[in-house]
Amino acid sequence: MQNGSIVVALAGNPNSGKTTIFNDLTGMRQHVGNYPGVTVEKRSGVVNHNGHRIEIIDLPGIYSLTAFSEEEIVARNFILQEKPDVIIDVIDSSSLERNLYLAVQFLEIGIPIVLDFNMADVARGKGMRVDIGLLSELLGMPIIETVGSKGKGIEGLLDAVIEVTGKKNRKRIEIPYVEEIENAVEKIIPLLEVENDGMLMKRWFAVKLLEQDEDVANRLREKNGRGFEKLQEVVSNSINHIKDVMGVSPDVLIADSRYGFIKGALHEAHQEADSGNIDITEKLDSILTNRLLGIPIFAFIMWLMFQFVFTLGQYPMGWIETGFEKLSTLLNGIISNGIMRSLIVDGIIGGVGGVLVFTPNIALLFFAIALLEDSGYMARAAFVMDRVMHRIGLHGKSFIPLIIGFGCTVPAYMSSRILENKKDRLVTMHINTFCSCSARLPVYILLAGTFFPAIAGNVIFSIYLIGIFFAVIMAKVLRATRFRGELEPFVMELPHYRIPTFKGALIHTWDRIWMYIKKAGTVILLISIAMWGLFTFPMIGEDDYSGDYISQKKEIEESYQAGDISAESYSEQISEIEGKMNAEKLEFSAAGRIGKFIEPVFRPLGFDWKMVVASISGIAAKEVVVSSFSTLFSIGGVDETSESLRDRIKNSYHPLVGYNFMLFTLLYFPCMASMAVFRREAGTKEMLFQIFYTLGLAWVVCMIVYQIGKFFI
Amino acid sequence: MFGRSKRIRRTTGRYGSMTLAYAVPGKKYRIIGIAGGCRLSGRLYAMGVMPNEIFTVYTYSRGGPMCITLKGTKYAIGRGMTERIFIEEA
Repeated sequence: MQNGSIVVALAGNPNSGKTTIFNDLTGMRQHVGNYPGVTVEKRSGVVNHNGHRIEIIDLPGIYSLTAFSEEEIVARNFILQEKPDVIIDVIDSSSLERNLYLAVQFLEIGIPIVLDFNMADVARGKGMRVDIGLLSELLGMPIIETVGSKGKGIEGLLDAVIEVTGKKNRKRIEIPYVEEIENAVEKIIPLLEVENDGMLMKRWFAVKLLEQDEDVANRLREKNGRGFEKLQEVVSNSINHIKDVMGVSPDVLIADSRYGFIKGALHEAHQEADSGNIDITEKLDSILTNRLLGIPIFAFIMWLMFQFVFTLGQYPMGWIETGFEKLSTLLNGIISNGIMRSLIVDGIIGGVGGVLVFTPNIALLFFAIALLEDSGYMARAAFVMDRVMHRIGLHGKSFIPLIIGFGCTVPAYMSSRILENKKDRLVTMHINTFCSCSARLPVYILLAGTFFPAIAGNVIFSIYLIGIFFAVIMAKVLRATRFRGELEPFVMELPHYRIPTFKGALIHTWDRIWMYIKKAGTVILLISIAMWGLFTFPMIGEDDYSGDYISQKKEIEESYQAGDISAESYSEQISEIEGKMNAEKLEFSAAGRIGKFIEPVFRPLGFDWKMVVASISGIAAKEVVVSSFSTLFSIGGVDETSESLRDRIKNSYHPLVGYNFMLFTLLYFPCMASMAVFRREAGTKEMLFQIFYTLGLAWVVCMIVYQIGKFFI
Repeated sequence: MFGRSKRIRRTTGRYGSMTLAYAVPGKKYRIIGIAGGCRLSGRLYAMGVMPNEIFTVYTYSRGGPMCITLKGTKYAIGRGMTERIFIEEA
């Protein structure tokens, strides 16, 4: 016990209803973080029960304590290193045998366990009968029946936790293995130098070594030092001996013994369901996973989700935008100092506001994903899409982040968490940027409308197709190079369909929004200020302007006041001069200088310094490229449909360069908000890789297009 | 790298029997062995897919993944895997 509170690890198979139990236990008092060094989520919460403070840590859903997946290693390391006081193992009462396999492995570690037979009502409905008292005796662990979806049995679970922690001399049950395994274990145990937590722990390590668990072997190599070689020799001799004598490898024998132990106990205390009745799951699956209907249905559900997220999301997005605009107007009136005002209004509110605007999209998306996952459809979607995605080296579930990417890359990166395998997840994230997000559309509209007014729609469509083409190519390339390795063998449980709980979906959604808002308040705030600084400093002095704009403005004002020109002509002339001043201000700033300085690098692509500066501003958010263009071409307050802006751009560049710039915008990494999320999900190294490889790819592709295209113009 | 890997389908393997890839809906089968490293078989064991278990196929598309029902639990099994699970009619 730490600080007088009981630490409980909540474990269980995927689809055992573990998350529902966790929500029942902790309510909204949850804390979400990551396990150190990995992207596996760590949820914890505190509950007070009968005067005890109980801290509950939700372990990832796993089938076994091997080192098959990141989740399994995380769960195992948590138990071995943090040594929780109790493990609650959530078990799907409808398939006891398989679910108990994990429980038996916990038993071998030697930490007290409480078994939670969840969804007991469903199992009973199917005709299963369990003698809880007898089974509990046989397995040596207390058993509590719960119905997570209705919050039944939760009190009993907490009572049991307190009871087992108070117990001093617990009865310890060992899984009996076949003689050969037992002999080998006996030989290995004396050689182990693990901190001694009783014989069970050592026995567990010995068994793991016989199972050829590399992670455990590495751990022991560090701890045992020189003794490890001797240990290794004994282990490999034992394994070879067992293979010779028994004809199978030890891990198969060990699994058999564990299942044997479970079957023995269940045989006495459990009566199987009289199966045969076709349930609702079977009926639904015959439609949803149908060979012909499966993909169209999936496409329809994706379309619905896209509509839900982006069409419905527009309304709250509008409110947030208006809110920030009002705030800006308000502050403009209050703050008198020019630089402070610019920093707060343009830099901070402009930057952070531009990022917070996506919050409704993220909320709706994660609500939709929670519904899809909880209902059991997500597993079917992966199954249906697996065949298609497999060809480009991805998992069936990769399809979801890729689709979302066409709306916004930020939630797309966040949703790639649904992929359990790290390589699948990283490849999906690295190609996601090529699914052109909606913020890039204004740039396309501006340029396609400018250079190809008659066929603008087709030109924009071609950009989207090129994006998909690069997504496929890069998926293959990344799979063959950086993320080499066999595809995860595709074996997945298809859970029974369930009606999702509103509470669960809500908690899930709230976590995501909160995570995003925190990001906006920290990293993105800093980047916004830095970007603002780049575009503001050094500030231009009156003498640095190319013309005497100040006195020109004065003249116009005087002639207006004298009544020589109309109000309309006055404001036109003033805004033209201010436009010129803004353009020169930008040219004078650090961003303008950087643009000019690196212009030679982009000359092979046909870009001039203005395009470079616009691209730099696109790092803040891609739609900013449009407003940068308008500043650079010295026109105040325009949007992408403005005629005069289009004319000026059209006169400055060849259509080929215009198309090339669209390509560049498509290919280089999305905005700073997405990169901040990328870093959170995949680490700094992967984020830097994403930035440099997309920039490199964009440069190379656009260079080739321009150099070849030049011959035809 | 860019082409589909062509693997020769084995109907019989070291267990001298058919693979899951050739199972059809409506019949009952028994698993008799799993070919693959101990990582893979360990995973399948942990998920409850192991020798002597009886199952039925309920969604199938030749060359694609497959759905089976085993002890009331449904599993989706990828194409590569279906060629490594050896079965016999039960």
